[in-house]
Amino acid sequence: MSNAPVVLAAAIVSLVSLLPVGFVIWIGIQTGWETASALIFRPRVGELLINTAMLVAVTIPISIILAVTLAWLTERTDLRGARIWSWFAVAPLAVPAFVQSYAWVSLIPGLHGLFGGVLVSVLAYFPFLYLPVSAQLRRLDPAIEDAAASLGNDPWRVFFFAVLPQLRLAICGGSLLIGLHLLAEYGLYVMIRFDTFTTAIVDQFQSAFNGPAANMLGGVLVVCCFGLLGLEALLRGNERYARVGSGAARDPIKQRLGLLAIPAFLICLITAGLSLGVPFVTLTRWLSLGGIGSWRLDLIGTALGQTIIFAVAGALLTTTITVPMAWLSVRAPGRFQRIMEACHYYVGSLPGVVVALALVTVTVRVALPLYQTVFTLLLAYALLFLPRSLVGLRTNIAQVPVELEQAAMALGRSPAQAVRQITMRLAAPGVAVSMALVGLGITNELTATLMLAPNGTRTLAMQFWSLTSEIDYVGAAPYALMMVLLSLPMTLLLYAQSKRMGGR
Amino acid sequence: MTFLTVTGISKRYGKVAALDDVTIDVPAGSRTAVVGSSGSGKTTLLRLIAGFEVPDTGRVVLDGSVLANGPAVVPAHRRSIGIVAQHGALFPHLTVSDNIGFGLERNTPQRDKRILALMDLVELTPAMRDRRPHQLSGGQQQRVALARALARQPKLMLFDEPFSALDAGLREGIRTSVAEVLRTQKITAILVTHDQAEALSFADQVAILREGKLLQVGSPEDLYMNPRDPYTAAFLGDVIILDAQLNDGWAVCRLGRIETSSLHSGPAKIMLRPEQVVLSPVSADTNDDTGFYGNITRTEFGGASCSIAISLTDPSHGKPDKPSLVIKTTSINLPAVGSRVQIVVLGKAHVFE
Repeated sequence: MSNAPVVLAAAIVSLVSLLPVGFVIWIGIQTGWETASALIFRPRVGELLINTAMLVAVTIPISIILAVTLAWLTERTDLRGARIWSWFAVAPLAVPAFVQSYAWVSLIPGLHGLFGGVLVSVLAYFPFLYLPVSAQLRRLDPAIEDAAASLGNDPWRVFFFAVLPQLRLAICGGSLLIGLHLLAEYGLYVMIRFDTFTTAIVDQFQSAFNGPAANMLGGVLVVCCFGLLGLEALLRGNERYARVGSGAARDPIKQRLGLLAIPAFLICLITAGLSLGVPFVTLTRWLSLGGIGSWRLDLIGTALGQTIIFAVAGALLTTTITVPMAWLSVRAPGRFQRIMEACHYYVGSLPGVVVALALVTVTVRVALPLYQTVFTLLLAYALLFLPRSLVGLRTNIAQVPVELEQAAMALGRSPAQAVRQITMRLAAPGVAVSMALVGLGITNELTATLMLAPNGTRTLAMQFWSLTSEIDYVGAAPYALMMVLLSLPMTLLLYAQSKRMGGR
Repeated sequence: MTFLTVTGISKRYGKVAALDDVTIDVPAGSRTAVVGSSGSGKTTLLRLIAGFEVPDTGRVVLDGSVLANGPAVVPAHRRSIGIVAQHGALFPHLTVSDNIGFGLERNTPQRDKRILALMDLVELTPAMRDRRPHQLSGGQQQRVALARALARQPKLMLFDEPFSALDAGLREGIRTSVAEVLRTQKITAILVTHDQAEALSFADQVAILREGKLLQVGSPEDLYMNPRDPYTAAFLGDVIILDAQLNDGWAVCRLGRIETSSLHSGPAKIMLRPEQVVLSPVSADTNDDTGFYGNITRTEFGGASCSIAISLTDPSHGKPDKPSLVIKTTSINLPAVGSRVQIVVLGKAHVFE
């Protein structure tokens, strides 16, 4: 049985996913060292670098402390209403980052700079850490804590020396995700008036279109991303964290909070108030101020329709092109397959702005008819959400035993028919979930959409963005509400997934 | 008449040779069992015949048409070979009748009737046709898998340890009914198993694989009584292997003079099956030159069969001889520890040449 056509398809997708990095390298070579160094080594870039580095260096530790505290309180203590608080710690994911900053800026118009950036970033992104950390806490074998305690450690030492080290993978993974979002986010920092690489690139792009300045900044941003990926790989290490031994782990014992229950309650309340209460209050205020008049149904209808079309088409395209890689990585793993898989994964960690720059340059110079077409935009979405789709597909294909595919072939189905009629049919429910995740990601995508969308495109995010740029906060409120509502199902899915991962 | 010919098949995974120059002929309408411990390459052989693996070298010819000639192969779906996997591999999203009908074209005349006839053939009641695989017992699942494979009227059926996941009680019943179906339908079949008893009772021809090499092929009786080497002998059942001096068709060993069919003379290793050794109780002081005697030193009750350790008395000087002989025997009239028995060997001893 030959895998050649599948390998070929996966190789093509891998090559396309190398496009953004190929673009950065190619543009670097073409610009030449002289011009490139003049564009890179200047005070403005240094300033951006310091801003971005400060943002990452301050936001991530605060997020870690907040997320681990909340996870421990909700999973391991007798905190009252732990289930509700745990849901409140995930729910901020339903508020897109630029809606979160819109809420804060309209509440405190003077909020700006590093402080503002860090505050809103932590509130918008800490659930990315809370989800894996709480899932990991739930999965830990309490016997290890018992053992540590019996060796004479007080509860604090048990937490720091026996529990925390086991959370390392979850903390590293979540921090990486937050770091990549910090590098990639555009809307949030524009609104809070804090310059990062991404905002600077989009500014350059909008004023000088496709100048070498924007491209060079893009190159530096890609280097930053790789730096983060490398740092995470380094910190993650290769220790074994899986439970040694067999049998099901006992349920962990809940720590009694006693007098600490009051501060614990306050921490949960304040976090929920800042991350959910503020958007809720401001949105309600703007919506009630605007009243029924701010609901321009024709405009909102168009925007909603376009957004849904993009989301569905993008999700379909992304899922279709990841099927070959997902199938190969389950059925025929090998060194070559792993390299191709790495290509699929790395591209998702690139900021939308870099992918968009690459596609703009390539279409303008090589395939002009494709410039500013829906196809190019969908391709950008596909590249950005390739890992999301691959992870979902792979787990679901892995759950279909290869014997079923072979049984179908022995019963006269060709390999392609066997995969379609049996494997994909059985994987369908899970694949639908990962398609939904991709589609909902597309719904809230702003940067690449702004740069690549054909003229006249009006998605919810674009409409929201152009209205807030004109400080029309009242007019923007309905769009913000729609985006929050569209994000809710994704948040529920992620929450349910992490609960399942933890075995509940 | 040879129906399936496998000639000089080799298959390597990296540095490991899964199959090394394996050649085997399967006569039409016969049942062949391929046995070996895990990792012997038996499943690889089956997968090569089915078309799920590509051989490095060697040919597979089925009924005159070449299925594989080195890396040039006919894909699995064009081979019309039926396969029944270890756990049945039923499609979980289809009902029993849809599973059985999976290989039948939609427009097959009297499709439903065919499905019902197949269900009847494998002894499934028509009431089960709307059940899902998870609502069936393991044995019923295997019956559905068999019916599904039979639906396409395959030239050859392959069975990949199909009974090993079943309860011991169920296993024998379904094995007999599968053998019966194959016999009435005149279908050639290959069964892969690690269970020697299953291989011996199911097949007309047994092939033994070890580390990718084919050790011996033959009828079950022949392999059992005349294995080519001690590994095969021990794999197919309990053995007593003794050093002996051959002379003129007789072997002289610790159990006396035993007839062999070997014409060699000189030292050799001979093999007896424990059921050839008959023990009869005698009084404690019996000792003469005409028979062989021993004392029971240990008995281990094991249900239907028990193991007995006997220390032999050398007739020449009457002293106990070491090591003691351990045999499996029926648990009826088990001699007590310490009692004395006479040892008689039935039939011929097999000589390893």
